[in-house]
Amino acid sequence: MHFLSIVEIGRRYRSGTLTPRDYVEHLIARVKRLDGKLNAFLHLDERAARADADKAGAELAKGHDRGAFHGIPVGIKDIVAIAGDVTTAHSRVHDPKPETRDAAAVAALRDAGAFPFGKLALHEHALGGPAFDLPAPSARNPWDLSRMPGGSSSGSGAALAAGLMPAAIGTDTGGSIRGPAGFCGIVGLKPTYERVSRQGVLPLAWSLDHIGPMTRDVRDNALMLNAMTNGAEDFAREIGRPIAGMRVAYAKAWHMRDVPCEPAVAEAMDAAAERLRSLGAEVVEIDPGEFAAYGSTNWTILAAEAFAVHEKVMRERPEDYGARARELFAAGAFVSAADYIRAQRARTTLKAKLDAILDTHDALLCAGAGLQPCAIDDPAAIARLLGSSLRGAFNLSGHPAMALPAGFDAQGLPLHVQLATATNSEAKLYRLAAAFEAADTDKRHPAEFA
Amino acid sequence: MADTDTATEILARARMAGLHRFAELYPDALIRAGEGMARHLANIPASDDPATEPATYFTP
Repeated sequence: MHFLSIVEIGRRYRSGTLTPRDYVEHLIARVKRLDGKLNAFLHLDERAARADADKAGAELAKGHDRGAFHGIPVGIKDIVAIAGDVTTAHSRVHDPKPETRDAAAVAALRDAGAFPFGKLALHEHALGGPAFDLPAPSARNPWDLSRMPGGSSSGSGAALAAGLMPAAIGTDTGGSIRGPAGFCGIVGLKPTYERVSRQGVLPLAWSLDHIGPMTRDVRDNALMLNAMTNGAEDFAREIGRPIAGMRVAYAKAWHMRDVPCEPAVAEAMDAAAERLRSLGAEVVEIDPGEFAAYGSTNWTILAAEAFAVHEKVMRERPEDYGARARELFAAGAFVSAADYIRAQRARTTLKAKLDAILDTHDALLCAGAGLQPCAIDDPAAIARLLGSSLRGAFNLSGHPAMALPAGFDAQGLPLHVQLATATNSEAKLYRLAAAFEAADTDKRHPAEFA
Repeated sequence: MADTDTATEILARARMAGLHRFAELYPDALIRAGEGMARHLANIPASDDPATEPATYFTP
């Protein structure tokens, strides 16, 4: 039951073969049994989850159906406000007062009948992990508990892959939805910038922060984006349509030329291109320019804005941060106003380059990272892994971008691809991703959590 | 690791940014952060296109 899709859970709710309360009890039991080795949860309010499940069950029984997310428990990354809960950011540096209202994304999910299911682990303040000097342990990768799950939405990715919940909210400033989604073998979408309201989410870098859905399959992801945006648009409307004739630009040079790349990743990327071709898409190699320009411009803006957020505490009590976050936040002290403006000017030209590609192609295919997840306690390997990330370009540009499972390497770790489309073209992205996913013949779950 | 002059300059810049306590407690972390940031700043492409001037995105 724990790996059911949201579509199937809803079907069972409506046929009377499952109730939200029974489903939540099943998940609570799994969290109690399994999360001790995964560390995906910072806090789970069981009483609230049961009460919310009962309320949803009663509404559904009366025929008051709010749609696909009615009665669905959703994990919340702990920089996203839930009324009555303290938002900790997985850090000693946080406001100890409980939130007075839900973040806009949480409120939208509640309106759709969903309810919060736990505050989830993250890298400290969405930047600094994994780390071992924080008030709570770092989440681990359910495919190999000795490895990092990616971040910063680490708890969200780990909990979904381990079957502890069917959906989770993530945030993404340089790849923080797509990284853990890719490394944990689930689906994560960074929507178009400001598609989902940032209200009630602790900022990392205002002009780069995105909020988005994390699920185990593409259709569930589209339905979650529907719910997070109050049904403003049906993002699932193109799922199931053929992709024959769609033009896909393949940025092979990014992983082959610009970052360290494992053979398994290179092979998976070429196999993904072939899979799209076999579905009738036209896949052509393009070169958007050296990735270092995108990555360094993203990091410069991120560092400057994040330092502005954390400046006071960094000056007065830097020892309250974990060592990793402390050092990363300090980088922003070395970005001058002129540097920041130079980076914003570069951002405009880099976005224009990607716009030009996406004006003439339906999507851009590229790797999420050149390397596979490394040991969680090896700082040098983690630095190499982060240096192989190819995700920040789409935080700069604001284009929607998704991490999508693409098989497994020889060690049994999930591989993934990244797909991006033009601004506000999420429906097209879901169409392409769903076709890609449907042609995937290797759908497994982590052995320790099956 | 940075040479002495570079390290001194990095720590001075950090103090100018108000990180006096940080510089006392964690000088090595600051030096690593400063060196890393310098590498990234060198990668930012130049743009003299008027369409990228700040007035185009800092609109009142």
